Amino acid sequence: MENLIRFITKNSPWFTWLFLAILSIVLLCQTNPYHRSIWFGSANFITANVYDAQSSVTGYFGLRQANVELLERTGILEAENQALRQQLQEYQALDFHQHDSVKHQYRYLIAHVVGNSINQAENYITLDKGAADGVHQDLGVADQNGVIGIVANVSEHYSLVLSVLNPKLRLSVMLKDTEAFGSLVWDGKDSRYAVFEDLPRNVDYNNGDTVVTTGYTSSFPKNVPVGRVVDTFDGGGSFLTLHIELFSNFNRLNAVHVIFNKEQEERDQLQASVSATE
Amino acid sequence: MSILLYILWLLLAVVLQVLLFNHLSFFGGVALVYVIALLKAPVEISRVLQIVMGFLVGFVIDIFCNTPGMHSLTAVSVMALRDSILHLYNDDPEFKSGLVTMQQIGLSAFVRYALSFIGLHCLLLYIIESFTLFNLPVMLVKVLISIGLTFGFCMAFEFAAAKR
Repeated sequence: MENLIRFITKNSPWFTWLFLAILSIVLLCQTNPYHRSIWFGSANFITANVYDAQSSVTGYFGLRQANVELLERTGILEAENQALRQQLQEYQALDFHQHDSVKHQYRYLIAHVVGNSINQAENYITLDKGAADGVHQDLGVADQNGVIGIVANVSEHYSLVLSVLNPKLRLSVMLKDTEAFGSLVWDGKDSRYAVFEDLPRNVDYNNGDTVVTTGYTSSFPKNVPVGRVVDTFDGGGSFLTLHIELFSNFNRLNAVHVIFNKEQEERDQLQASVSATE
Repeated sequence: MSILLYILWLLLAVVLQVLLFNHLSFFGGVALVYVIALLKAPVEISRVLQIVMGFLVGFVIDIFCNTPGMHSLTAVSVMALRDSILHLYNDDPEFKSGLVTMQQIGLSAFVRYALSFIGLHCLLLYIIESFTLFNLPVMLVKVLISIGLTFGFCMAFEFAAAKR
């Protein structure tokens, strides 16, 4: 017994190291973002508040650029609005009635980015809206330029978003012109680029083509911009891999919107009611 | 008193790391300024305390970076080896208290000590990171850039402190 105590006290640094290293490894192995505890991440109360204070200062830095982008975006929307108005008039002339539920399928909530990283192997974004604002897991997040990520975890007033710059996120995307689809992943190299995988080889495309979401998953509506094709990587086989330049500048995120899909809520309620009666 | 001052320096380094240096990436590499504060830790602190300190600092950085365990595992392991690394380069038996500085152990010993410490830390950190994403050339570039940036800041700080 005495020998054991002497052994432990003599080697106490190594026991301390072993204990803390095992603790770290346990933390390290919680790889699933959905199971990751809110307490050990940037969405907990203290860290989120520190980041909040920081972004209340740095949030102003990118405003000039954000303004320009917003103006460009308003221009595009204005043009689209005009075109749609024109179409609507044509349809009205034909006495065409659109079904009510199709009109407002999506709802948007403005949130601010309080924490963000772009140089980790797996990047997360912290937003200042949480469960109290109705945010829940799997909602899509975008900004004025394009797709940002998907909500992975929420606390009362903050939420943690799995960024596009995270290899754990696979997004269903397509080429806007041909509607040929595949999946978007990040290769971990550069925060400005991502990779469009599994595009069938027979599809026609050009560099500069726009890539948008497919709407196949409930997180994003169809046609949310993602990026543009800049390069092809031909790995052989029957699929192509394209390099995509992302529209969103992850270096300078500020205001984003969380996308609520009303049909998804309806579907969830329906499924919940079915399982309740079983 | 000097220990208290050192703890303040350590806190400042952590805050700077989280709020400033984590956001300044250069081809994917980041300057790890908190490592500079760790490698200068006073030599009279016991080995156990050094290890615990490494863990706490790494843990706080992890929480802010959303990388649970990564920085803490690295800092714990490197701090466990710190005394041995220091003994490799410093042969002055009189050096029993105070911060590890250039004046204390000499320029060449300090450079070798700092490079070993920072190099080991960065290498270990990015190896642990790449368990989740394997991309060797990108990782090596990141390691080299991080070592360069951190060592640069370390020497700049050292010369600035020596001048005063």
